Order: sequence, then C-alpha cells, then structure tokens
Amino acid sequence: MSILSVPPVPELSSEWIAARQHHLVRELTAADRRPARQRWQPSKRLAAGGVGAVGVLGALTAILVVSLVGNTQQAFAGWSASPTTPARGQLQAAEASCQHNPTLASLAPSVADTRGPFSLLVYAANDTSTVCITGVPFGTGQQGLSPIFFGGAALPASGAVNSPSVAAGAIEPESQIAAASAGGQAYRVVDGQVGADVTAVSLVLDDGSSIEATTSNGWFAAWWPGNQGAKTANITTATASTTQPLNIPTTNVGGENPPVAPRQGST
Amino acid sequence: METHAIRDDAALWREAGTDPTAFGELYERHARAVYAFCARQTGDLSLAEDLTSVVFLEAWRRRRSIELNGTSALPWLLGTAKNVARNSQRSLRRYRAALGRLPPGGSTASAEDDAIERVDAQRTLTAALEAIAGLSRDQRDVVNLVLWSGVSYEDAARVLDVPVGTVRSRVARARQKLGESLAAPVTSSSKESS
Repeated sequence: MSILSVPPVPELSSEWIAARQHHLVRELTAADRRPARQRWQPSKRLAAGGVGAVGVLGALTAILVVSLVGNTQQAFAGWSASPTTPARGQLQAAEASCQHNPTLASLAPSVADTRGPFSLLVYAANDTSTVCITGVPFGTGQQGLSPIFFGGAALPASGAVNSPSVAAGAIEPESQIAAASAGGQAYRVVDGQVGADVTAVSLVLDDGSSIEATTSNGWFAAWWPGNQGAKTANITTATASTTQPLNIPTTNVGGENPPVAPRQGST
Repeated sequence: METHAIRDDAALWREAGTDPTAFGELYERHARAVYAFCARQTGDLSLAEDLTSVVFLEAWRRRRSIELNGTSALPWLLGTAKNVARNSQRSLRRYRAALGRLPPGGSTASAEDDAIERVDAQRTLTAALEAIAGLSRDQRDVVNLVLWSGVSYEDAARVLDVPVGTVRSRVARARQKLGESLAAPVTSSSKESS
C-alpha cells in the first residue's frame, strides 16, 4: 500500500445529503430575507463593534469620511450602468478597506455592487444601512481604496429590532445621496430594501437613462455619475415586471471634504 | 419526455447569487467530496460533518465576491475546506447559530453502513493520518488535495496560491519522504464522487 491509496471515508448517504441540502436552502433563503451575518453573529458583537461611535438616533444617522485627492481627469473611467463582475480580489480588498470603520467590523455586506474599478458595499443592520464606496476618485489611500461611508448601520437605541417589511414586488429606498468625488465630479447613490420576491431592480433617471442596480440579501444599491435623480424603478419578480415611482429625499453631501453629513432630510 | 440541461458549476454559482436553490444543487454535487476532504484533513468524521456545512455557509456568504476559475466549484470549495479545517474552532464559532439549526449529524452512513464500519473507517483514517504526520503541513495539504481528492496540479496551485511547480515539488518530496513507509495500513476505496 502506498501514499497513493485513498484513506476510506464512509460515504454520505443520499438521504443525509438531501436532508442537509433541504435545511441549508431553507436557512439561506431565510438569511436572504434579513441582513447577512446578523443571524449568524451574536447581536452583542454589533454592539461591541462600535455602534456608539456613529450615534444612534432612531432614524438614519450619517457619517462621511472622505480622503480627497487632487483633480481626477477621468473620475469615473470604467464605470458602467450595469454591475460588472468583480476583478480577482476586488471585493476582498474593498471589504477589508470598508471594515476599517469599526462600526462595520462585525458585519458582512448585504450588497456588493461593482462597476469597473469601483466597489460599493451596503452593510445592513435591521432597517438601516451604511454604504461604503471604494475606488480611485473617491479616496487617496493605497491603490485608491480609501473608502467613503454614508449612513449608519446601527441597532436602535432601545435595542429593539425592526423587521423589514417591504411589500412583495416593491422596493423601499433608504436614501438618495448626491455627492461629489475628490475632483468635484458629481455622483449619486441610492440604496434600499426590496420585497422578498424581487429579483432585479433598474432605476430610471430624470433624463430617461437606466441604471441596473445590484440586488441581494433583501437590499439593492446603485450609483451613477452626474446629478440626475432617480425617478422610477423598474422592478422584476419571477412573475411580473412593474414600475414604481420614486420620491426619495435627496441628501446633498457635495462640496469639499465634508466630515459628517446627514443622510436624510437635507434635500 | 421532459429533459433538463445539466448546468456546470459556473452557471450554478452565478445563479446562486440570488437563488438559494441553485446553491443547494452545488451542495448536492459536492458535499460528499468536501466531507471526505474535511475528514482526511482533520481525521475526525463528526467534525468533518460540521465543517462541510461551514464550507458551504462560507461559500454562500462569499458567493458574490468569488469568481470561479474554470467550470468546477470543487477546487474552490476544497480550498475553503482546507482553511476552515485549519481554523476549525473559529469557523465553528462563526456559524454556531446556523449549524445549530441544521439537522443533527451522526448519521453519515447509508442504511447498510453500520456503526462498526464507521469505527473501522475512523481507525483506518487515523492510521493514514499518522502515516503522513511526518510531512510538513504544506505537504500534507497537497497529499490530500492532489493524491487523495483528485484535484489537478493546476487547480491545487490556485487553491494554495502557489505556482504549479511548487505543487509538483511538494508532491514529489512527500512521495520521497514517505518512501515505502505507508506500505500497509490502508485499504483502498473508491474515490468519493462529487
């Protein structure tokens, strides 16, 4: 007998596989309806992760951390209206960068949206979210990955958990951010929750152009260069496509390096 | 007659981004191979059951950030299995709640596969791992990946993030080091299907 011989391992029965598969799919389906990681991590980790650092106001709080560079000639080169497949290591690098924010250290992103070299991650907890964007024009860190954060993924002060309840076939936008890159180029970010049966979301802007959002784990997110607002959403489910008017308050955080900006209510 | 096209892993992996059922199909395809790998990596059949679940939960968590190389998900799954087995306690802690909701383990055997066979398998597995205990951890990894799990040198190189030549040399050194020292204890078995 030599090293080439394979040590025998009792084979898993088909029944065992089927039972585990069934429960795994059920587990993942349930996980899809709530923020990722949250059900797999004790909630105390969230509290210990620095919730207090961003303030808990009951409504959305906001922080904006920006590291600015000089003018970027091609601020959004490589951006696309549809999400792109991430380059090897792109999302891992973005996630590592975003998790420097202690509030996010114990969370996994619910949405990972990549458009060329840009990565947008949505960290959701209960019905609030923090959006983290990394990419060349947004920051100055090594390889341009210093992130920008919008919003505050935090447990309510009371500790109560609000179960997201978005109607089937609908979306519930959290916010629309109007911001500017390091070089002053405008861009907008929209994120929010989706009904359980929603499989795709496209945002139609004021000028009629369409932006395909990334949808996962009960959330959607998209961003685009320019000042055009999101007017309507084309929502796809397994059985139908509908159009939902959007009336999202716009939070302006443009200007030079605002350290902290509210996420809602400053239209 | 109704026919179904067989989708490759890459297609299933893409669908799994939004569809847990597609992910379940990947589980059905590869759970046996992942379990066998975990068992041979840890030498513990019961632990291997939990680690198999952890591998797939981890795969689900990272499904949108990972792009498969090639058409099979198995090399990536085995690479993840290697990592979770190495940090098994941390991995189990991370997914403790999810594991607690899964059906209880302890019944890996098919109906005709009784407890005696399980004990024998555990004993044989332990002997096999003792036989390679003198190898370095890197060499043991390539033995399990390449020689025992049938992963190609190229895929093993991706899993281990080393050049193909390094995989080849580790296998060669493992063979050389072991020589004929394994010349008895293990009875061969068919390789687990994926």
